[in-house]
Amino acid sequence: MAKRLSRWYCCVLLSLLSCTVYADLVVVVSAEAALSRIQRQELKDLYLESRNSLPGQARITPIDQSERSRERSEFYRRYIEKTPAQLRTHWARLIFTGRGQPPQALADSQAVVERLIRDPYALGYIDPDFLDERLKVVTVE
Amino acid sequence: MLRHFVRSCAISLAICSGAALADNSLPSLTLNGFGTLGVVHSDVSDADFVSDPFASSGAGYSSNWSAEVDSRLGLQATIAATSELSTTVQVVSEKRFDGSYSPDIEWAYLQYDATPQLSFRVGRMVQGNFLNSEYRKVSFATPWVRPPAEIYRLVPVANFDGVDLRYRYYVGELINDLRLSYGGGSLEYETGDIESSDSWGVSQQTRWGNTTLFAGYGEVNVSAEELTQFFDVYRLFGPPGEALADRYEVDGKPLRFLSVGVNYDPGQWFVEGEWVRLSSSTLLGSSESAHMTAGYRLGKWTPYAALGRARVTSNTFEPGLNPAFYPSPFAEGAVLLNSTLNALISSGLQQDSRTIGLRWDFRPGMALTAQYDHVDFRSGSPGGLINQQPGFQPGGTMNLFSLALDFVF
Repeated sequence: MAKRLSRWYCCVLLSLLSCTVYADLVVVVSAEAALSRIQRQELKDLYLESRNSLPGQARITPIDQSERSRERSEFYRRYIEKTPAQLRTHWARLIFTGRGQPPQALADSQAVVERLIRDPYALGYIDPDFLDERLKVVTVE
Repeated sequence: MLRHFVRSCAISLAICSGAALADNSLPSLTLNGFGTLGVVHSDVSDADFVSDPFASSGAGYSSNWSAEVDSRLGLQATIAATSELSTTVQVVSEKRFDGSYSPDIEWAYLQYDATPQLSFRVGRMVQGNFLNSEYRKVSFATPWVRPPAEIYRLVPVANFDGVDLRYRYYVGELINDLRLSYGGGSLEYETGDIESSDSWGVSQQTRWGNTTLFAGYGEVNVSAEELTQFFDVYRLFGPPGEALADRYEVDGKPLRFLSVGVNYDPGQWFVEGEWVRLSSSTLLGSSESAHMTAGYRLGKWTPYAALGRARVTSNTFEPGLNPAFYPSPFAEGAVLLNSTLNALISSGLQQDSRTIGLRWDFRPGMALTAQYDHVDFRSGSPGGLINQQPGFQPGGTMNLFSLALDFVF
């Protein structure tokens, strides 16, 4: 009985933990931007295919974070579903055949915030601690 | 004309590059580079193993361990003038037929994006005959030390000066890229050059999640002065000589390439396979090649294994002219011509290869790869080895040990 209970506790703890991990990253744009929701496939196209427009949107510039940042590995694991090794090969193939350049990478969440509030066409991902009224969270569907 | 255009592209790019500008503003300049420092050892000591069939020396006979086979450096500059118009120049320095490392223009084109889905390019480009053709020199972007010879040695002239069109379209979750290209090019080698003209290709690549499917078809028209002269001599031997020249002549006949490829890469592991058919009614003959690679990623380490196979499907022997019909010295000439013709038609790649390797991505943009290849040459094939010494016996086996440091920046 005690054993079963502890396992139950573990499950609850784990699910709480995964909830917090899930909330640890938000996709954001400037509060002035028109965009409020985005398809997961559209997000992949922006970050992997050098795409800079979405249906119904004028243009959109994806902003990345430094390869060393926690936010970046979280973002690519959760939304783009690519490992760092896959990404490096992917970009080497695109760059050296002239098909595109990876999104501009900024140092950290703070730098992304500063960029987004200046540019209503930019989209980025940040640690939710950096959220403020100048930004808008984009729902990923 | 086009070559002139390619050169002026390069010059205008060099002038424009003085104006490097800050993020997101146009015009923008982007510089990238790639390279490989590699050594390879071959246990066949009376001939040279080479990756580029037109190189002058390689590993085996010329040197025990050769750094010339795989080492290269590539530099690329892209200028985006507006959001629709850009130009890219890529220069690659590697061992050439004349023994020098003088850089060659791999890509140099002007690109116009009519829409985000449709782009046109004019200038020098690389034929997209096979799955990895366009970045075959960027070893960092592929699992191997060098692309599988069974497939990637089939195309004699990979670069072309011409035009291409690329169309990206979406069907449900499928991302499709259609490419059409047309142009011609040339390639110098030690004793002459090969010209290709009126070459065209169409390829379709579809990505669906972790799966990439590729299909391509292309025709390359090549001519080589040396071969034209060789068949002109055949034609001096009357109707039998003319018939042989018509049968094996390269000039004016297309080489047709059909290829399919698939790659599945869910992240933890990957598998890739390719199949190619070359058909021509020339002395280059017809052949079928296939290749398969699988790898597993353990953090920074990627062990991989590969199998390759190439078979000539056309005849590799030609009785040729009957010397008995000709008086001396024509009879001796006929014997010489026949032996040269047979040496040429039997030189196609016929082999089975087994490869194992280990790649170590020790830091971002850098990888160290160790690779072992065992190649079994079939049916008396010299397996593309060059500088064959008198004691060399075609149809044997070869073991290759390679070590390569690949980088991109």
